[in-house]
Amino acid sequence: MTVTPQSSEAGAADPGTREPATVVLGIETSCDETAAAVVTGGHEVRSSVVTSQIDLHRAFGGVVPEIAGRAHLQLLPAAVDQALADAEIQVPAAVAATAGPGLLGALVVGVSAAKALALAWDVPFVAVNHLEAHLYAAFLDGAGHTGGAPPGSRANGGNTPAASARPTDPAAAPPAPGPSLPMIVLLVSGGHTMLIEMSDHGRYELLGQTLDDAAGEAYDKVARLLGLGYPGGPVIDRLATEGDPEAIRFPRPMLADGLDFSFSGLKTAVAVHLRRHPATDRAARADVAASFQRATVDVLEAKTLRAAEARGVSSLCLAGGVAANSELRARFEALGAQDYQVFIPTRAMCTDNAAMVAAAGWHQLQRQGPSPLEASPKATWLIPAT
Amino acid sequence: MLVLGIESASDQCGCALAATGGVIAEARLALPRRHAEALAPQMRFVCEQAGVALGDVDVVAVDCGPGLFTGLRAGLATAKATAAALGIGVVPVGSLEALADGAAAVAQPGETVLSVLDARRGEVFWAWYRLAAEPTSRLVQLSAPQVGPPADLLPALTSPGDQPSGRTIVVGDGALRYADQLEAGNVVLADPELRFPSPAAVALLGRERALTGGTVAPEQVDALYLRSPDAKPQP
Repeated sequence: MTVTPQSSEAGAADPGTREPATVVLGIETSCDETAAAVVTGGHEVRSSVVTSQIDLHRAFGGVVPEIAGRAHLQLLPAAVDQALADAEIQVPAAVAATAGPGLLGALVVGVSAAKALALAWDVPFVAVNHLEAHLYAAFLDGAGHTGGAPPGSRANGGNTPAASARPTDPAAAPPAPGPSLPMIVLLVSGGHTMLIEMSDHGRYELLGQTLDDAAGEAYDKVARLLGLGYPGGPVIDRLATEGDPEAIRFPRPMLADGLDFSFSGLKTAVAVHLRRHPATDRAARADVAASFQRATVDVLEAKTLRAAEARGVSSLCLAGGVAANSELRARFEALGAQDYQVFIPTRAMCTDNAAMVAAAGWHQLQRQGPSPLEASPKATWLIPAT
Repeated sequence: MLVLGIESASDQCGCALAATGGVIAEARLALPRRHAEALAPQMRFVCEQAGVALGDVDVVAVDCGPGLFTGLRAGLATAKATAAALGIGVVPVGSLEALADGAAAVAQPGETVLSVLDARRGEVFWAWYRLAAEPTSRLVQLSAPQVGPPADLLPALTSPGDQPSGRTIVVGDGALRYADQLEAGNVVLADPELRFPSPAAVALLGRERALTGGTVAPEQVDALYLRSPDAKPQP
């Protein structure tokens, strides 16, 4: 790994000689991943450490908040040490932490640690919205891009009108690569299913969201119905590859109806189907998994395209843990062959991680400056609609 | 040796700086669920007031519980991160001993102190201490911290057994909440002002311990919960 001048140990030892504020330590403890990462300039991932607690929660069929809080306290210091060591830095120029939405008892650990680190190192603290952080996964180097000009080209006046509207940071060298704005983001995870228009950095509009279950929640519930264990996303995704996605015609809830989602009816349809036709062998379960996944992805894709049409936006982006799903990724990649530019984070950056937090934190620091040390962790926190 | 004490095991959170002559600055906030907001600004405040830099701190003393779980973790996460960033050690201090330390000021040598913190759900955390006779006049722990309903304390209060004669000073927000269940002939309820462990006590106990080599690496510090997480495995 190349060590950039920002990480010089001389800079770390003496705050007076620190390099420009581009090297950000990110911390993520909003749910069941304990993560720390170092990102330069909002896009270059210098290190990313994600310690999953899935094994601790599996027996309970879901995340147990108190178990998550205890695990974060034990796991976070080592994750931070590792992230700094991997990035070969001692003191970052800022510390960004997810401050919500999420499990309050889990958020408290990351926020408290981040504030203390920032205070002890005498660097800015940034309180980051977790949903906004997910959007920044697409800005991290290594994110996929299909359709239109490659993302780097718009810095030279490519076919992306939003490029000139971006804030320019005189201290930064070349503009950070990343998706063309405005873009429509489909944010899908265990806790959220949202369509967001990102018109610029820090400018978001919520276009639609789930009225009941999140898409990832539906995956977990269907996995339970099929006796597949937890978490449901990866196991259904794997099993679906063996099944016929047209075997069962599950409903596409609210397909023709606005930009909001509903997945609880789809989950119920799977339950009703399994009562009538118990899936006694692996092939039958694979057909149910594939058919459920097809119905889910059909809805997610159709709503995203409707949002793009309604807003006159041709740039699309996937975000959130469910964006690691193979069929959803394949479907969005295919849209790149049509009239869309499509941006898809790497799988590792779709699920909860701290690199996206550091990236969002760096952009927020450029726009708004540091957060107060008094900032509260928040269990609920809408994506800032400024 | 400059010690930063951090306390967050109860509805109160705060911090204190202790140096050779004793405590030089302390900040406390006795409002529930404000720990993650208040602790870092409190640390900045006590340093500013004392005219020291956080980097001048030699050791971080932290209340490790038992106590309210989320509050406890706010203090522990703060203490561990501060120590890690500064490259210094941590001294774990118990919430009930810090609480007893406050009551010790009003106890006579040989008297017993019962620390009782509210554990919610109708239970309390408690531990027994005795103020040793002069010349040391130090608190000696008689029992390890436990959790249970306050009624469990009554037999020991009414028939002290091997407890010495004389008063038992009962202290803490749990003692205040369940005062009617802890009434016995020789029981004295401590002043409500002493109901929470004080950051100053954490700093002083921590400093005493650090001077005799009780410092550990930040990653070795964890909370004393005394209760399992409330969750049932799925069949």
